[in-house]
Amino acid sequence: MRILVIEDDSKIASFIVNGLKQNGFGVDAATDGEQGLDLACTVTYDCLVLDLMLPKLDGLSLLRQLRKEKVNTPVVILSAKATVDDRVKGLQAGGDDYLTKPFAFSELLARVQALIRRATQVVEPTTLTAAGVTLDLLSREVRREGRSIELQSREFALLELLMRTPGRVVTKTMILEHVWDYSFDPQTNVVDVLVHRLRAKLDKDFEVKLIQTIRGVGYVLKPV
Amino acid sequence: MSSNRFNQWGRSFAVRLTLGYAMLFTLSAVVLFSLLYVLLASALERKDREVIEARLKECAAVYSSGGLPALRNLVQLNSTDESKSKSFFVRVTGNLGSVLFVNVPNDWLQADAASLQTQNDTSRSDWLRIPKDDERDLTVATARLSDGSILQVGRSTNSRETVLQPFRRNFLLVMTPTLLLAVLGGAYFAHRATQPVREVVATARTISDTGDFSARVTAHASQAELEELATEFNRLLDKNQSLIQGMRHALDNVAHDLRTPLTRLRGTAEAAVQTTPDPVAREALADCVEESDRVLTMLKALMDISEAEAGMMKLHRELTSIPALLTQVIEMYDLISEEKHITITTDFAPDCQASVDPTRMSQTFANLLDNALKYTPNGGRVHLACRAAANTVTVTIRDTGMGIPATDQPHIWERLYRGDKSRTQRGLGLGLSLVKAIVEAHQGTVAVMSEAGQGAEFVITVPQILLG
Repeated sequence: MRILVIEDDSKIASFIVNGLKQNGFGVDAATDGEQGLDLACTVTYDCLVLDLMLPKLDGLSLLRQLRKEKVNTPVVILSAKATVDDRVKGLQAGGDDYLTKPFAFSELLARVQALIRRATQVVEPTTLTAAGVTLDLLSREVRREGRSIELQSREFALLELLMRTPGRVVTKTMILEHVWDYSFDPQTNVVDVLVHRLRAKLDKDFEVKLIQTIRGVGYVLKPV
Repeated sequence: MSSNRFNQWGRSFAVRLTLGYAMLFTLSAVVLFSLLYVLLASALERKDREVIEARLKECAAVYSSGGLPALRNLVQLNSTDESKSKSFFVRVTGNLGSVLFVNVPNDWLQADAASLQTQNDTSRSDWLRIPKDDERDLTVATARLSDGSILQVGRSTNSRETVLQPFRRNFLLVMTPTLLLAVLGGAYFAHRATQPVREVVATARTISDTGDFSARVTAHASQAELEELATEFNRLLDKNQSLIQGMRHALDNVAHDLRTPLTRLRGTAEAAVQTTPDPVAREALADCVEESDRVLTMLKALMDISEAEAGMMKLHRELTSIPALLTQVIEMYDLISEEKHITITTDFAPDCQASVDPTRMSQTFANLLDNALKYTPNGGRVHLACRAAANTVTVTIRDTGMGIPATDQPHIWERLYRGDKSRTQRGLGLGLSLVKAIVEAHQGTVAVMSEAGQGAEFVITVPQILLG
């Protein structure tokens, strides 16, 4: 899997590139719009991470040009512009997803993975399995090491989110969006409460704890 | 309330203009009428006198040429000729006051003549006018003859009253429609004159109600001064609009310039927190991430408040069921209410629909519900109600918490204000400012009712459909 990161701010570019590399991606980086467009048109990438404010050629123009050249690589837009209008403009220019700065790297990672999954048209499984837990998306049954676990619908939604990317971090924002379909941060500890409940049902009777909290980052499903 | 309205009515420029115009118009009409009245009265009098004076001269001439007998002849000749006119009263009084000759016409009474007698001596003026009855006056002219005797010629004339009374009656009859005309005319001119002013007011109202700064006043070329007003007002609006655009730009730039370093800080710390083996460093880095998130949330809230207060917040309005929004928000918080054993009760009336930005409204409801849950002790109650009234929807959120002290209440809407008791609680001190800003951007109002220890009740009222 190869990803192109087009970002002129070296600090930001560096943590994105390093983070993606650590997660097993091959990463190229471009620091201005022209260089980015050149690379995107000549090399085949699985996904593009594109900043909007770029020297030489701005992100939106780059995107339009790219689509004109019939390059259909999925693109995640990164922007410090936060309004709904900016988001709409980005998506209309040909972006597939839009992330406002500052963002959690875990979220960027999740979105890149989701876009690649969609582009390669992986068949959605009906059962998720990880770390001895099976989750049936159709019958909505959850079993851990053969033992059935009763989950309330939001607990189920949270577990599903964690099990789709086992070992990878899920952020608070991702949980709010996935479980409650909320687009703004309600400034509460409701996510902590939900995680606490799921943990009580999933981990209580087992020696190995599956749901980990990484302070400042998010939650991850990983046997410890 | 009604006296207030009356005051306002009294202060209205258009009303004062109308009254002023009506008064001036009426006054002119009265002056004109009075002038006419005086002229008419004096013309009548003059006409009466001319006739009598002619007769007096005739009599005097006859007397001086032919003496008393000639005068008697003349008078008798005339009194038989009834058709000519009403006959004259003629009297000649001698030097010693004895009546030498008198002719009293039929329509005169002896009493009339007698009353003249007494005034005879004292009469210094040449003319006497004695009101006889309702219809007639007696007008008498006096002349001293060459032999010292006094000749008086009189005639009953139509009383001035009789002539002028219908005139006066008509005056009242005419003045009623005149007054009406004056008021109507005044109202019309006042309406015409204040039309551009009202247009300016309507434009200003449109702008402050909808936040649409593109509205302008149409100038009327026919009214130079008012056209100038409209032009200057429009220029002011242009200037305002460019200032607001500049401000929006500046806000965007500030936000952008803050977001970039925040991204660096957060991204670097987030990457490091997952790789560092040192638990102390990990805690510090996690703090960095959390604090940068806090700064970002504050930045967002401050931006939203600034935008809303400057009337620049873009609202994506749609007709929304307010109870449905409230239900979603409650769903968001039911885990927390369960944890704290707080009972949430609802009372939603049907048909509570309003044209609002659903995301923004959810945000205000979430903020208020969050506060209610935060400040309500375990085992308490939070009640949400929604009511539709004439053109408005009212949402009430009531808790059984510690309440808000009266001294804090005026300040809770201020940015970054936090009451003493809430300092220990987690929060930004921006929630209620944001609530107020968003509700006011919707042309709504938000109020609080609370007594310390008795819980608090927040009431949001928004218009169902935005007018204009």
